[in-house]
Amino acid sequence: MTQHQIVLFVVLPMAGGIATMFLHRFHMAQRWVGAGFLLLNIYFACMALATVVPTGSILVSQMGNWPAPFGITIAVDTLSALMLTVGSIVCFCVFLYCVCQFDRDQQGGFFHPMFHMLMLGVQWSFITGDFFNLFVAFEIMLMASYAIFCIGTSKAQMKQAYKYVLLNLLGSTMFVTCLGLIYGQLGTLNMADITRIAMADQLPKTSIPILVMMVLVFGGKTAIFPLWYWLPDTYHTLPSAIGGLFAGLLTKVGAYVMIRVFVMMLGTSQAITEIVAPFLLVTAGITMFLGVLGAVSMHTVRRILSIHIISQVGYMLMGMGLAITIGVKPEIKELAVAGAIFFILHNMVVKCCLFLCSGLMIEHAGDDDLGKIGGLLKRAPWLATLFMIAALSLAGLPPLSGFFGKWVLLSAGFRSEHYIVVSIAVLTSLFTLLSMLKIWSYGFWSPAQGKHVDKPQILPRTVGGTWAIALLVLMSLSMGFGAQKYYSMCATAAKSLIDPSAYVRAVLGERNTPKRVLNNPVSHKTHVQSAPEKISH
Amino acid sequence: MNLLISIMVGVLFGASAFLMLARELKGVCMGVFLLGHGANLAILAVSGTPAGKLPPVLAYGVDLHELVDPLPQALILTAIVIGFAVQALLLTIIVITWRRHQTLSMAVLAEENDH
Amino acid sequence: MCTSVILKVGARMIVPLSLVFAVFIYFKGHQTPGGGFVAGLVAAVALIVHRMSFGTQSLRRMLPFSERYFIAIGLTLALGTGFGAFAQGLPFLTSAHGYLHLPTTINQDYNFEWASVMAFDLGVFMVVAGVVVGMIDVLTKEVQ
Repeated sequence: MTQHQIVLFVVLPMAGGIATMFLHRFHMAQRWVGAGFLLLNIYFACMALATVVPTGSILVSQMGNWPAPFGITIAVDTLSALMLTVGSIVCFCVFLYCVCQFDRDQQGGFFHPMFHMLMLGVQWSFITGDFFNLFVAFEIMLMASYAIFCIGTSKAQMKQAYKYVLLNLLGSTMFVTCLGLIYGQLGTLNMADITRIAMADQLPKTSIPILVMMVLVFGGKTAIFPLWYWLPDTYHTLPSAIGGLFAGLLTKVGAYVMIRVFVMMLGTSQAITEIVAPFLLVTAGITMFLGVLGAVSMHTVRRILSIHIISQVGYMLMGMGLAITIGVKPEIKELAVAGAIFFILHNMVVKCCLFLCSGLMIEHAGDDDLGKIGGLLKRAPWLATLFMIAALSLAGLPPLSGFFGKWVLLSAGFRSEHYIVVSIAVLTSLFTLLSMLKIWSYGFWSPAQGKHVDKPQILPRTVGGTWAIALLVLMSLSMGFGAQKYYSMCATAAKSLIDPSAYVRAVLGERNTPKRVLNNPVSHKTHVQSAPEKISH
Repeated sequence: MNLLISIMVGVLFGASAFLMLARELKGVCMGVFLLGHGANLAILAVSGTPAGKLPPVLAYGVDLHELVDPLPQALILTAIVIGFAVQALLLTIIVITWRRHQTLSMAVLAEENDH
Repeated sequence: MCTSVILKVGARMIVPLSLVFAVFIYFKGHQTPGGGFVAGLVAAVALIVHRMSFGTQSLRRMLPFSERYFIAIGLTLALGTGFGAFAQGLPFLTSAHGYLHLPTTINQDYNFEWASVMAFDLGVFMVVAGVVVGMIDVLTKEVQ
């Protein structure tokens, strides 16, 4: 894959969106065209991964051929390539599920364009190298998600829709205000340029509160501890497939951006990490524990799964927090980031898979309230098997993918002597297992009840949905049994995040790259004079 | 000028916070709209005082240092366009909510949640 | 549809004028303030005025196709412009430009400066016009 081809990750989903918009009266054509674009996308994502991983190189393209700090940059490094690959595969599986399981009216004429536009927003946020474009990508992603959220406009959905839209709007407004202020302070919004300034320890003191405020912006999107209240209320009202798509992609985009911003861009600036790192570690502990307690207390499959998302975000935060804690050795930092990345990838696949499983459970039993269903093991043995694998993977049992992500994170925690958060993480894993076994024993084992008992003659069509789930489970299994392969890619990504000079050099060119300043004891007083020149004023 | 804009931003943010605490969905939405305008003004303030400077239109014989920084304006334009779309969407959601529930009162909507 | 005679008579003059003005802004926008976005808004306002005075059916007859296709075609144009440079191995959206001598203009020395961005701008024009008209259409459906 050549340098300029990375723009295809924006162009392809957009072209898919346009094509399906033209075809909004022809449902079959929409499906096939959409599937074609998604498969092409997976192909290019794998190509990008194959190009980037062996050499650790970074593909950079400047939109409109305007040079870096002034124009719009898009860049694909190992982290982006990994996220793109797994994200596009998850997208395809959800698409397959939607096409096979949804009624025609649920798909409507405009479900497909919105689906592709959502993917456009997600992929754009993965590859953008410019803060303002990140905002635009977020907006596109959210706008498509609002539209998908409201499809069907059932009563329950509309009750929750305005909550979701309003809270995300608040977050977006905060984001754009922050961006304006950052531009005022630093005179640039290019990620590599801000990284350069942070590496040279030249961030003006006044910009630090604004940059720290970004934790709240992205924290809201990722659903971290004090800002997660919107998530459990909204996700469970969605159709399962859409819930899976949102759970698998939207919160993970937030986590990705947090890694990009706080580990890569600002991780070298001591003034910022000394505020953000303790916050992240404390929030990580509270997020994972409260999330899992919520999950244990719930009694509906979709509610359990959606509140579980929060608990899993805690692990990612733990990795990020460890990676920017001052005084931790660089190799442990790399371990922590690699663990966080591995965990994000694993979680994208498994979380989405579980949501799809809950969808098929509803197809069979007519409900997802654990008190009203049961005995699905006999009715749908394949679904039960796939669910069990995904659930155990989420809980983190050894040969499966969840185990390795947690293992790396925990060992990073142990080696950097953060015992409290490690013990909370272990406890959380136990509770996760408990809540998954709850779904298993009530939904699959307990005496048969539900629609499949009352009306056994109605056989729902679940073949396509089962295949979609099977693909995701296969992906998860490959991450478990091929953990070494995946982990080494994550480690490459982590290395370039902890020392971002290669990224800066790739985007800004050789001339502008400073030498790395490691824990520089330069006093903060000199910062104001050495602040970079602004374009205006 | 910058002081004036800052005060204006404060007023807008305050008004939007007040509106967002309203009991009706309409008021809440208006609050969100105002918040967007406040944010745009805040970005405008970032480009410095425009006193004595020319608008950022490139023409022959104009010294670049005499122009106002155009980037914040570009950012605002983008933010306005996005805000425009979001506002339309929010209004549509209100219309649909009204159609389904025949009310926009937050209290009634929240009560209906329980049943 | 109950509208006053004044609006109907006024609209007959305003609508074509505004549409021409939109085209003017679109061409002006390359070097000076203006451009596809504003032009699209002006055109949309003209179309909405037409709709207010003569009704939805009349607007439907006026437009060659549904406003949804306006959005799709506009996006295609914008994407296609970027793709032109991409196909030649340049970064996406790289602009080409040049001068066009128009023999019909009064001033014989006048050279029209074209740029491939203009196609992009035309896309923006169509998207904006389509979105605004569609939005007003959807939101007023309930009221009527």
